[in-house]
Amino acid sequence: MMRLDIRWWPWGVLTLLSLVLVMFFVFYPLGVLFANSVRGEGGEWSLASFAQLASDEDYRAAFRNSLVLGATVTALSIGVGVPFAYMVARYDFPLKNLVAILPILTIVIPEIIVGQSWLLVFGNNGLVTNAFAALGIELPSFYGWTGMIFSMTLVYYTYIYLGVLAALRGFDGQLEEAGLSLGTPPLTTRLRVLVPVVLPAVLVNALVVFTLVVGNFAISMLLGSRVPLLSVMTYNTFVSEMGGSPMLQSAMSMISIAIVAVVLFLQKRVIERKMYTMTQGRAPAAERVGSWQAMAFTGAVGIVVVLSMLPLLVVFLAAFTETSGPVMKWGQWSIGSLARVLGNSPEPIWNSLKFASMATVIGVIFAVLSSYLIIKKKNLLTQWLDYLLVLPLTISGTVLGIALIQSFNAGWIVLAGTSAIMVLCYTVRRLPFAVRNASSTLFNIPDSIEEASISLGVSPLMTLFKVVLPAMRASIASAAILMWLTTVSELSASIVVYTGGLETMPIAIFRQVDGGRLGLASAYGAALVTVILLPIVVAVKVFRIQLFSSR
Amino acid sequence: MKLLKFVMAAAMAGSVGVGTTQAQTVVLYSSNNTETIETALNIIKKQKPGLNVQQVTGGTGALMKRIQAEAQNPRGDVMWSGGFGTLGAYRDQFQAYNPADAASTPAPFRGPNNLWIGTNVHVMVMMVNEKQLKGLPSPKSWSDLMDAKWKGKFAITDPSKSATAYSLVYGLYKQFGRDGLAKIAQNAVITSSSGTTYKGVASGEYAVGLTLEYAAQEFVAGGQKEIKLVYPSEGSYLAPEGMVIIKGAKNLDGAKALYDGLLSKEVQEALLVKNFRRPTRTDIDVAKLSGLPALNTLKIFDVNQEAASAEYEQVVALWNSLAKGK
Repeated sequence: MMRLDIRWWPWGVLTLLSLVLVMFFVFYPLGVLFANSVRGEGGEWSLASFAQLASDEDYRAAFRNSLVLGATVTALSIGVGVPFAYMVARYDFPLKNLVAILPILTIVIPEIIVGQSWLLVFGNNGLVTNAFAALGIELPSFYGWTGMIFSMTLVYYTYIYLGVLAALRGFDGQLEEAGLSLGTPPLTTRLRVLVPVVLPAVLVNALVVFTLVVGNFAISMLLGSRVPLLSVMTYNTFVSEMGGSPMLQSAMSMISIAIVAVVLFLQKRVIERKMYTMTQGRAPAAERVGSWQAMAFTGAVGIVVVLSMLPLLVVFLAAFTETSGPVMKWGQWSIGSLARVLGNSPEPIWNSLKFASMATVIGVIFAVLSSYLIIKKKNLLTQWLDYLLVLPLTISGTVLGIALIQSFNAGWIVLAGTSAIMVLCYTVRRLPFAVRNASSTLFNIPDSIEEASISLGVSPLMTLFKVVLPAMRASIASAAILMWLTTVSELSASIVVYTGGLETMPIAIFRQVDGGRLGLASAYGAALVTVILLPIVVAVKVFRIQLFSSR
Repeated sequence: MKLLKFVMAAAMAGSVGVGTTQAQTVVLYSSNNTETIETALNIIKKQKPGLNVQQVTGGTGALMKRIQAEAQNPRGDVMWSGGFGTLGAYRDQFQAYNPADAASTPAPFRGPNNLWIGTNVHVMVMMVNEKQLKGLPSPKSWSDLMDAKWKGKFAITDPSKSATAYSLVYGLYKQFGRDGLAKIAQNAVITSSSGTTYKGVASGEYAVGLTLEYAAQEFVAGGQKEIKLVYPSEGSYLAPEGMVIIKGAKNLDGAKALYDGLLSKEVQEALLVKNFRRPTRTDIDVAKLSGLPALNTLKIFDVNQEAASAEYEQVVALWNSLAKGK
């Protein structure tokens, strides 16, 4: 009797509650989306929308382009990320520490800012373009494939870099020594021993990069106006003044989800087949390199780092540049744009802070609770909770936005047009990351501590608060910060659900870029970057939280 | 946990910091860009110090749908601005008002039964980037662009994505018929927003863009010397935009005060000088104040806005079929 009580109260009830919430806010919208994609106007079942898409020349082109773009950027990211990680893991060279940390910041810089600042540099009226034009040299247009491939590679190589770096650091150096002592030549040894270790990390992260590129909205929208792409097309169907048919939007969304689902399936197969378990060995010490090699390494890695950091610099320069309407007066400084943004229309800044902090609080509480249930109170229900919590990862922001707006626009629960939909959007989109983050330390907390507390007569719920939560403190803080960073820069889902008065900083940037006001966009960009970097600096410097541990 | 508390405190501060209420609060729904709204409200603040204007911004279509959805309990008082065709489609949602100053705006720019009044009028022009012409002569007329040598050299916005682009396509259709429109659709690069068209010309992506006068003029005024505005010899098309008081406005007096303010000569002059919005009032010397030609010196091809609105679906469908066929 007693045991059953403990099972249902409090954990069983909390599990059910979490499940109901996730079902309602994640699973149900996707269900609505699916239903809408196969139901005609009269409510009859039909695959007409899919047939229409299949016969649409433009859509087929967009489908092809998205896959090609995904494959190209993924390949290039591997080309940049793997050597980069290898150099950082195995060699010592000047400025290595700086160079090793900086790329992680690129994950933090909002994509909209990356896209916008590359336009400021290489756009048809950009700094570099104009400088070359003055010399009589005409650079090829940055819009389209060139720009997208270039800037996306500089954002996404980081994922490959981090994954491979972790794999290389967990690598047991003795394996290599064993190979060498058996008489195999050094290069062959390295290839034979390292490739199997690094390959799974490369493949898994490559698939992540691929899905991110296919779902990418901000950079595609800013740079790809002449190349039809799935994400942009889905968004355009949604905002079309004709009102776009919900059936078509939903069908497009389902196809995007299907692409990611296939990729996730592949990823699971790859991990299961290729994963090697390695006894925790000592990674080989980094090798000091000679002077010319050191310069080459610092140079190669430095160029990549400088290029991926450049957007930050450009945004701040542009924020302080004099403008006249849409025309940037480079070289003339002014605080006009910032004054306009801060003085006359600071609402997007307040909105961003408000929505992101609410989403962070809700998301972290939910993530801590559900990861605790999933890891420490395993049963069939928590297993389902675990599966459902991964769902948002399969949906691109645009699709999530469409699903939420279709589900909560009418009926008995109307969230459209209120702050609630923005917070919901942020929370759902970033929840999987927060859960993963909160879980990381939970694995390391032995069950025995809890059992000890309970056997001393402390109720299970109080034990959670008094014993488990304090032990999780660091990962809660880092989950909170990562949740904050990623929500405050969220664009692709919120731009679908927002209405007047709910504008956030990324949306303001997007709209100002769209209206041709790069100066104002940069001023919002500078504010956004500040809001993003401040908590990181505080966390790392004041609270000494290891945010970017690369393991 | 300290961090969490801090975040929570910040969240609460954020939600408290929003609503400030005063006796004379009036809610303005506006589809104009922030700079334009700023110009107008800065003057209105001086004209009517007691008036506290709260703004909600968004696209014309979205705001109209919102007004319709809120009809039982209107949350906005004034909507500024929408094309006459769009306003016509939502006429049941508006409150008639005859401002004292109405006579300053000529009858064609006033709505039926005083439901709305024009605040500005867009002129459709050809925006030319002379650097990108590359030997081609600058176009003089719409029909110049129907020639095959212009294929892929000029941009037009998809009329289903933008109300002003629709006015343009409708004008071309009325003036040159299906065949003329077909040639334009064949030759043009079709963009998905008005912004893409004029920014693309300014940045050199297209040599010519069929776009809004004010948007092109911003680049000229900003000092981009290669940008020129061409008013087609066959006649430009006008797309007037107007404002309305929302039916059931909570603060009708405040709404009227704001309406009068937006219509005032002072505001319309400032909008012309700073934002190149061509006024509908006849007592403003456009040429002297802005460098844009006066309306009565331009050749205009008349377009019936009501008819344009009525034929929307049909003309957009025609355009789509013509654009697809290439």
